[in-house]
Amino acid sequence: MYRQPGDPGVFGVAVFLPVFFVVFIHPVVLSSGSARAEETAIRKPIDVERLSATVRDRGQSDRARINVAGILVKSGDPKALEPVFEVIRTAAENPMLRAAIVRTLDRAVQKARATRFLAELLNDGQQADEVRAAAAASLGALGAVEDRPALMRYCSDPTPTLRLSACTALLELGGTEMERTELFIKILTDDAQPGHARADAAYQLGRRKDPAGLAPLSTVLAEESAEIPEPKNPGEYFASRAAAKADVPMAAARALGQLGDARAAPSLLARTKTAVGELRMELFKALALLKAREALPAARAAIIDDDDQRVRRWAAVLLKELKNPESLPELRRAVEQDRDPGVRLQAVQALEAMQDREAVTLIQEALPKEELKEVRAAMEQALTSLSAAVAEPGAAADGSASKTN
Amino acid sequence: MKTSKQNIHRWACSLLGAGLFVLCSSVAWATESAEVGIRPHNNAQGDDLVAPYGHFAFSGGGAPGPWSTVFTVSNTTSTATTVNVKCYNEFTQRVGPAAGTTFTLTAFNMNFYTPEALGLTTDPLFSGFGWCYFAVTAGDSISVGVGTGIRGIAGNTTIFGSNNSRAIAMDTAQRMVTTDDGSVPFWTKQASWTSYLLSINPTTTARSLTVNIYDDNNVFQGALVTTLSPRDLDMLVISSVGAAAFGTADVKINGRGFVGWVAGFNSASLELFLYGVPLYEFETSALAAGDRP
Repeated sequence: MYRQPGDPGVFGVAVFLPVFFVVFIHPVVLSSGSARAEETAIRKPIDVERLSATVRDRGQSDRARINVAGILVKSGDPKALEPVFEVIRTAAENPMLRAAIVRTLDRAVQKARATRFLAELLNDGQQADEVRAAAAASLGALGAVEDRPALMRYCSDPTPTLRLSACTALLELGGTEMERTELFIKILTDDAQPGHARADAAYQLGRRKDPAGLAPLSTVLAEESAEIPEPKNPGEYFASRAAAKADVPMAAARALGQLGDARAAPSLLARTKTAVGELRMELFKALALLKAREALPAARAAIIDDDDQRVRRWAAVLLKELKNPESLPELRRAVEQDRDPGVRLQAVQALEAMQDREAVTLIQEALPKEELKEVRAAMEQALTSLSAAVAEPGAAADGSASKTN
Repeated sequence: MKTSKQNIHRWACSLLGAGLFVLCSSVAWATESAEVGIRPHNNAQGDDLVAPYGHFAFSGGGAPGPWSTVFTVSNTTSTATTVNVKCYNEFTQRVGPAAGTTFTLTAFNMNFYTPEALGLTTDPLFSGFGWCYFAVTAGDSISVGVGTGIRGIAGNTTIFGSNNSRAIAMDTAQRMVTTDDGSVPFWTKQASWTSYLLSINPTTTARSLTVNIYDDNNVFQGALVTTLSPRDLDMLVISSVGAAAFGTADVKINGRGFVGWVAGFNSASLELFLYGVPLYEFETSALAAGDRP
């Protein structure tokens, strides 16, 4: 029990083990990871001179110069930014390349220096538009609040690219809710901007649920929509999805539905008269979300006549929301005859929601023919619910078909 | 008493030693982790995975269609694993059952899941294009294959059970998002090819995405800059930028939240390719329970 000479004892072992681990085992176990990490210029002190030479060297590829600039801007070395600034200032360099290098400054570690440089660039009217636009974007990413006045000025610049970058940078900088809503409206209503930027602004306005978005969204809803043709191959399919995402009226319709303001219904309804395809679907979707009573006749017609199953689905959803017994004939017909299971599903749920006891027989007849499990489940659910209502007439919901017809 | 004191002394020393050991090793590991990051290697197996899907009516090359995705979900462990799948359309809207679709796979078992099986296609919000989040809610990890193509047999939901299927490509779901950058090793618009970048932000924070596009000589062709909203899927036509016929691209994002795939389609031959965008290994972050919808 007593320590012998030379015996390290428990305490000795206790101290020895961790020291041994940290000094000998740990580096060996992790050596491969450390070695790999050191390959990355960002993780170890970088060779600023060598990398600076690469950025400056016009014989190097654009890709090498842009990515090396990205490494330099992440360095705290006081000399690291100068070669990057130098290339950006060189008028003989391709403006597109310079703009790409300006965008790398959005991750600059030496924020104060980068911000000062970017502000100079933004205010230099001799610089190419794309370079100044990139400077505005990087200022926003760096959180350069001191440059807010300049960005506000350029947010109304005659050059669309600079205008968009400056407005977007202001959004990055924060601001009050009202200011942010105003910026989104400014981008949305600026028809010189690309569709994806305006569509994103519409999306943001919908999410904010600010009533101030109602009028501008209703205005752009009337713009011409890209008539996206039915895709004939996967290539066209991808292209159609990209086009749908950048379509401003479609984005406005989605946003108006999300906004939840019933005052949007008239403009949405008016647009259904001329809209086709995916925009028409978005309009009915928005009307369904708003539970727009004035859209009842349009929905009754659409669920029967519209060629697009997406439109018929949303027309059925709208009729389900409105629970108006006038629509029962169309809903019953949809359950019996519509070729799209999604329409049948919404229609049968609508009949259940409206406690249409007269639909029991037609649902019983449709059930064995139904192929899709979700629709079968909805039909079984409706039969259970409606049969109970038949057995106990007093339990039927207000507005049910037998009460009102 | 003496023996008791010795025991206490011994226990105290042991505890101190164990504490020092844990402290030193954890500090060392933490330092190393921060420096090295998670070494991802192959990132296609885990508890939280994401993948894109597509589904639209299209017949081609003698196949009746539709052109659709099939997920092959595989339990990679010896315990039963329960998986919950929640999907979105490309407008950040949830599609399918509100609670998602949940299923259990027995040990090392696999199964096929189509947009129909996941309850997506009857949802009015289904646009035919979107992405799914696979979350293991009980058990251990899974891997998910993402097959896509034109179905070869009418009414059959698999693209793999028929010689008639066309334009088939396959990749896997991914579990890592980048916090900084990734690269597109190849895109093309040669002949009848078109190349697309499918960018997903599975997180709840909006991000700004920049794609720098180069030709095969690394000459800069231009940049695509876009915002990825929370739970967003964006489709960028890489081959629309510049005049080059093929090349590479670099992807930059301003924080945690990008995972992507490149899809190429040849409209003449109906050939298709699909691959996950390689992410820079020291700037990746695994999707986790906190990211789940």
